[in-house]
Amino acid sequence: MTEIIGIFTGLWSIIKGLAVTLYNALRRPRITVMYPRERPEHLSPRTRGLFILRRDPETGKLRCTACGLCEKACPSRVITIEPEGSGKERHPKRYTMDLGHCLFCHLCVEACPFEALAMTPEFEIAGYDRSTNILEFERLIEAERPAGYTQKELLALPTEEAGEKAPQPVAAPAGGAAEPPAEDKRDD
Amino acid sequence: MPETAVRELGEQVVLNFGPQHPAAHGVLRLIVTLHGEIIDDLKPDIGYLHRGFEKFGEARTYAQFLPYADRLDYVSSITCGHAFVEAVERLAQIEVPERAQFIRVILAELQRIASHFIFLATFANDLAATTVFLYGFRERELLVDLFEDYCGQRLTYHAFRIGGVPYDLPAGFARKTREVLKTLRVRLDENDRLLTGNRIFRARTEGVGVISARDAIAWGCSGPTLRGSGVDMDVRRAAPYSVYDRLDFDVAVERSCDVLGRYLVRVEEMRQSMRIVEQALDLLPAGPLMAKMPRALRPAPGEARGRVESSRGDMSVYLISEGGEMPCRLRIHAPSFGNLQALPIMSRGQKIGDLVAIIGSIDLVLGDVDR
Amino acid sequence: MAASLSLYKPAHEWWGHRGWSELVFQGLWALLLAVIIVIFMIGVAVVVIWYERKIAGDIQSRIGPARVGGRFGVLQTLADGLKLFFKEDIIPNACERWLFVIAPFFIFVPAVMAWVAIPFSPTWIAYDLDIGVFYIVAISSLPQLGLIMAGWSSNNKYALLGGMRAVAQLISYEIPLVLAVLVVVMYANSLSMVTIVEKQASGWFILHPTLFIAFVIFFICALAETNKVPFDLPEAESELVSGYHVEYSGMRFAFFFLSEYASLFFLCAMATTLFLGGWRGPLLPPVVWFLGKTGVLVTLVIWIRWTVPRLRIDQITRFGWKFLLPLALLDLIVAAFLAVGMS
Repeated sequence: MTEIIGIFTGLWSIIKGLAVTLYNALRRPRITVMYPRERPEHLSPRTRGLFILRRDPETGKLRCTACGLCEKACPSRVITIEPEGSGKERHPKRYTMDLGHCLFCHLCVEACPFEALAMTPEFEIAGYDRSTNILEFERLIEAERPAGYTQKELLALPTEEAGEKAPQPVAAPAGGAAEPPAEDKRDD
Repeated sequence: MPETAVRELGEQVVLNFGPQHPAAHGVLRLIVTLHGEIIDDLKPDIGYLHRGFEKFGEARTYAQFLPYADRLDYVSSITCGHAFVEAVERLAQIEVPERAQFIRVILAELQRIASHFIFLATFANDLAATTVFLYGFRERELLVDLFEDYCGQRLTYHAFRIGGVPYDLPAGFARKTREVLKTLRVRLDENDRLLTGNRIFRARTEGVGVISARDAIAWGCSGPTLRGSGVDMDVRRAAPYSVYDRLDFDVAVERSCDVLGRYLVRVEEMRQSMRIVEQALDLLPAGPLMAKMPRALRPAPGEARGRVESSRGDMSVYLISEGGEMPCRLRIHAPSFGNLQALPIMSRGQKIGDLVAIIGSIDLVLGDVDR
Repeated sequence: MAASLSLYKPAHEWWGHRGWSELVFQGLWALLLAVIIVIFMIGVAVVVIWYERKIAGDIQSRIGPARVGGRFGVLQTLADGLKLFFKEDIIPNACERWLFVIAPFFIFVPAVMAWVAIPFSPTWIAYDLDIGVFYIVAISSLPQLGLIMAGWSSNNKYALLGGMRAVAQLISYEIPLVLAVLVVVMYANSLSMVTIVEKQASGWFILHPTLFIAFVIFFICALAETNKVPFDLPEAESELVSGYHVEYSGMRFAFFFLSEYASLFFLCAMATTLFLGGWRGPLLPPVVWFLGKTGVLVTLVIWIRWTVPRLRIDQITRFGWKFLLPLALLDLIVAAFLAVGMS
């Protein structure tokens, strides 16, 4: 007898499952994005895509001084810099990134003290050849590209406040939650 | 196409399962000795995904290794990074600010939910409930979008830094997360109706792949594989790290010791993780995000261990420093390795049709096993 | 189509006027019908495959094929078929060559042969066999031979396992299927498919309780016969990597694939004829009713396929022998009493 009841409860469980599937079949919108016709619209500003070397908006010169901090910070030895000049005139003669090894981990951007390097939301960087992985700095400073965000700009984006039930701190640190002192984040 | 071994030992047949196999969860090779449909013995052959992390770690500084830690257990990358970061912070005696700890917990628990969705998806796919596979990934997309808002990546996040977290939660994150969790609760209930209560699913998972609590402990299982056998062991309770001792949650334990038990443990863990995230969002204090760190981290000579509850179990990173910028020895204890060790015990006497369900229930990630 | 009064008679007369051989005419006519059936079968398989992918996409919250052939991807199956056509024909070195080559035909040809007895409409039937049901049931046993041939001749352990499982499953579910059909035959008092449809003038057979159970049994056995989830272990992708047809590639694989979907449609067509009143229905032309009802059943099969997990082989056989068979026998006995009582 229990077997017979078992058959009916089993059948009922399958019917419940069918109802779930039916409900989902009628659910809109569908989750397919017809790439490349439709592209993801809102990428987070923190998206770690292709790199860009920034210019100083006033002088128009590259901010990069070829100090080599990004080169040292990189875990995968992606960046190679050949500096030229000295003092205030120091700039990179060659700035090469081998994206074939890049982890897109953001350590180089965080290491740069001059806000010269940024990551943009550009993710369509595939190529047909390994040679397209090696980027010289002409490629990295192309004009009509999304500007991306340097580390300082990222930290300046609006952030979340403390939670509703957070206990009120007795001595609140100066500056509150949003902007910790800039010097503390270097940990290469 | 899978190769086949040609030897036949009397009535026994030796079957080669993998390394290329749709149900092998990565590059796992099993040498299965069968007679008829019954499995007599099972020998895992691993190493196909060995990438030399431990050796590599000796050649990189602590901060430089951190992005690589994500790639160990790539399905649950935040917890791997968490283990490493805990180890370094213990080694160098860095005190992480509170807000950073809460953010870490939020991200780690969201990662646990996302990882368990992958478990759900792949496990159901192995049992031919292909629709649940797609539902699992559809649900995971919601979580992965949250991660993208936070750190810009969708799989290997590099979301922590040594000493804290790099960014604050973006504006609107708490509201978005709560909405996502609300949706996910509904979807988990749907999944219960579709899969958990399904008679056929129960028939495939009840009483299959049984391992007693004693055997599970003896063979080094941890995480949901262990808790599915009735052992109440969770690193977040046993050796609390970060701010878990301040959060209220239950540890999911099932006594049935079979595949169904492990599955139910993981589903319940998802719900508990949602609880934790909501509590953490409520309790999120104001404060700095990073501890004061030197430019180049040179911890004093010594040893330290960072131990976290990864989605797969007890993950530890053990570091030995000799005062330099790079660790002298980096040892990773990965949970899937121990869980895989228990596979022969679970499978002996089972039918080969059950093997796939058992492998799925252990939730292997070969990146974890082979490092 | 023949027995169709529209084309057969004039063609026959035209032929007779010429004084040509009657035998040759019959032979050519049969050949014409065979060609039509094969084309129809392949066409049906193409449409059903596309339909399945679209429904699967809906259930899984995604769009199915949507690129090839306009916004609805209608030419997708054709493109896939074309791709299979151009693939290299790989025959494993150590296999039983002749069995390997012949196996797909053992599965494809009976599927074609069975279509002879299905009535699409009062006048559209290839040949109105008096023993239509018996003929179909007999033909449906042949593919099992093809499966075991494919599994054995591939010289692959996975294929062999798959083939043996397939045959075990098919044998287990053949008997309840036949018993369910027998219930219908008892009610209709005839083995002819056309008569069965005509006997449903007073109401579709499915509305009678014993026949409803027979329909359920038939449906479950149809799922098992066509290797659909929850009975798709013989070709379980995640366990046996396609089971008995793992070593087939290119056009040979296409034969297996097409046959599977064509036989799915065929079994649904048979269920429609036996239980749902075949082509009966008001207003619309009979063919539309027939195809529509079959389409509903095919949709049901697809819906179940994408919802439910797979059963293990011992569970499948246990279910078939220990549950379905006794149920079918019981149903038969009760139906026998009722049928005798009714007449």
